Amino acid sequence: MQTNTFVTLSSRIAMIDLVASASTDRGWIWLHTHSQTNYTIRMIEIQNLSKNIGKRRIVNDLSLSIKKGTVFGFLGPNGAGKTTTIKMLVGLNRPTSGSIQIDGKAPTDSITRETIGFMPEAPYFYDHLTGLEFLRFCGQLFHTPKTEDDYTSLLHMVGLSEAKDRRVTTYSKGMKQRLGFAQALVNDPEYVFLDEPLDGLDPIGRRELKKIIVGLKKEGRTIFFNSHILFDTEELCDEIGILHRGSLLYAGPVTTFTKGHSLEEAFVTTIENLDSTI
Amino acid sequence: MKHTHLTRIFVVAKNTFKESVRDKVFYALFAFAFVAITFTIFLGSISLDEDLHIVRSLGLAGIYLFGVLITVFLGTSLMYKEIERRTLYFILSKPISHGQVIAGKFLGLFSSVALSIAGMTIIYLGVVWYSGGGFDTLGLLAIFFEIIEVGLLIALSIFFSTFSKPLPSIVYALLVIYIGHSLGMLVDFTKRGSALAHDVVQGLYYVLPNLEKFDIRDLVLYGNAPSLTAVFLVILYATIYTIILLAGGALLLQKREF
Amino acid sequence: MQLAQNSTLRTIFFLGLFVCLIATQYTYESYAAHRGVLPLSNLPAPVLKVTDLGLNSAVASLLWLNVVQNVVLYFGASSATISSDINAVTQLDPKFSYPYAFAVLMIPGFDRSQTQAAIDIATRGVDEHLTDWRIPYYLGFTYFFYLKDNANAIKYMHITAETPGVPAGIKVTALNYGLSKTMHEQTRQFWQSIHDSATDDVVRQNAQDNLDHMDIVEGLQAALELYKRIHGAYPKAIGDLVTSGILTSIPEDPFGITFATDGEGHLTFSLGQ
Repeated sequence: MQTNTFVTLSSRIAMIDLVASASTDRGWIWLHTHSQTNYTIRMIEIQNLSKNIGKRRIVNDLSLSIKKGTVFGFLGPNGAGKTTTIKMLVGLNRPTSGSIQIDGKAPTDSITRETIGFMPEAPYFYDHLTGLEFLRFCGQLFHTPKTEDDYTSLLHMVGLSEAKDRRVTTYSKGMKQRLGFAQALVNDPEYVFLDEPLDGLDPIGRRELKKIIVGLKKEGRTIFFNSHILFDTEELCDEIGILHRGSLLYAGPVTTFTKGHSLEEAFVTTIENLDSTI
Repeated sequence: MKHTHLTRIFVVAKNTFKESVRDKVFYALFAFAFVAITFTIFLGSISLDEDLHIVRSLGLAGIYLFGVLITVFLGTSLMYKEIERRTLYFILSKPISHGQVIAGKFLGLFSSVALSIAGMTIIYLGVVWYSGGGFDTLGLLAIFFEIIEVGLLIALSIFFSTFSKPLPSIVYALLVIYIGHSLGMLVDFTKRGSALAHDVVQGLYYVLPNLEKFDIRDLVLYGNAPSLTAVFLVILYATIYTIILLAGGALLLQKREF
Repeated sequence: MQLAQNSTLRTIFFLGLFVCLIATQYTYESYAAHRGVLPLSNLPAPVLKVTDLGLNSAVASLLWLNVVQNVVLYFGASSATISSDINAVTQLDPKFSYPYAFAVLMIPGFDRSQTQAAIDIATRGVDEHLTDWRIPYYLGFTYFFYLKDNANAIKYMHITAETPGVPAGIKVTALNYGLSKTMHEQTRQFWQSIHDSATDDVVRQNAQDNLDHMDIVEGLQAALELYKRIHGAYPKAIGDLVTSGILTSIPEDPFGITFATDGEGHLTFSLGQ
């Protein structure tokens, strides 16, 4: 099933080269055709990123570097600026200052988004489309088209096979979450951005989704996800970032942060200590 | 099939088309228009032997009003709904530009409204034929002009819906439609007034959408057709205005925070 | 509580409400009949023109239907409204030709005081250079019949004869205007030609009624003369024509006119009983 859904690594690289050939930036093509063996160049690089909405500073001087093929958990309390950050990462919003580079290109450049998958928080859908129609619609927006089999097997993978011809309005919250996840994977993305992916799912749903995320990691994809729920996320992450009031408190391996405590415990202590000092 | 810029626009258009033709408002308005146009047969029969005149004038007006209503109702919420319900996140995180989204949305709604107008045109032609008017070629020309105007109005509604809630958008759109139809008259009124007022109105006359030129209903009702040059100029005017509105809408969308 | 559980009570409750509803509507209707409503047509044409989104001809069509309804339903009742409505129709849709002709032929028949208004409407119609012969023909007839204005009648009869597409019969009648021996004969000729050429039932019926009216008046005058020849004097009352056996009954006039006589051989007319 999985091999059916996702093209092999070599053909994926071929696809990127195809995309690059559409660009006029010759240097960039050179970088990619010569970087197949050097994975460290392919990464998410955030430098001094700040974002104001109105007069409020939502994200403050954020710098992060996420290695290719890792699972990165972006954690923080509600209103910390996680969603604002992820929206900039997928090119929905522009930074006020600083830069984001994914594989050396800004996400506001539409070619960069060929290799990105994004699942918004608590997604809404079109009222009058079925699950399959919606996925097909998303798939057709990419350069390399998918076959009908790709769509059905992707829906099967997220457990929506039986509901695929029903209108999305009839879906439960968890089913909508799964459909949102499926559309984020429709283009075999190198980078998957998930905004609160486990929110609103029942325990079985969470376990299934986590299993898929682990599978994606095994295939060499980079996963960046936001979460304010901590207790079952630590097992997923290679690295975490802790965001509080727009500023990065910590970035690095989970174990360095937890120092033997559970992630939740370490998180709450850190935030409380910080709040009491203000 | 490789997906180019045009095919992306087409994909969004297809999706928008599906969405709008599955909307209940669409069918309610269509049913209303169907009944209204058929009802003109009855109105014609009590008009003292002026059946054809009544059927044609009311039929053409009915088709126009239906087009305007459905445009304003669906068009003003088109982008707003995408933004408010965050379905735009799905689209804009894919390799597609703001302009392509707007163009696709426009084409999708335009084709669904044009399709419904085509449906009504068939009813209209049937009604005119039944009333003894034969095949109403000139009426078809008037409807073609109505479709062009509706295209401009869709672009207008989309433009408003990129920055405003549906209800204010409806008000703005109706206001512009209303003013757009009165501009010629306003210029005439102010000819007698102060020079400044005249200049201001004259300025508005050139800047705001000048919708009177799309109304050839009164012309074709008495067997006259616009000249080929006029047809060409009207199409050109509508195309340029539509492009301006869509480009403006795309720009506003790009500047917007999500 | 009772209401929610007891189905009989519930039925009675809703039935009662419906009866009240119907009674309210009924009361409202009899009230509204006195109060009157503001029709679309009370708005002046320039206002309509500014507010109708350029749908001038459609609004004109609706107003025309309003006129037709007024004419058919309240025959002769609201002539001022009818003339102002037709005025609005012609201002909104100046090329819609029939209302001009209809106005000048019908309105003076309802209300003589509106004759000039009707003539103004039709004159504008002729000035619009519409190729509808009915406008100058009916206009000329109105000058002749209601205003006894020969000069204008001749002018419009000539315009009628010049209008393209005028039927041969009408052209002959128009050109022969003034050649008839009596005004009476001329009038009859006109009504007959209007009757024969009309495509609309209201105008045809109206012409027929006028012809019938002329028949009745002529018949009664002949009967008065016959009475005098038999009895040596004119009858004192119109009923004498029946009692003396000359007529079986006094004929009913299509316009509801009651006939009487002054005892000296003249017919007098009065409306109603």
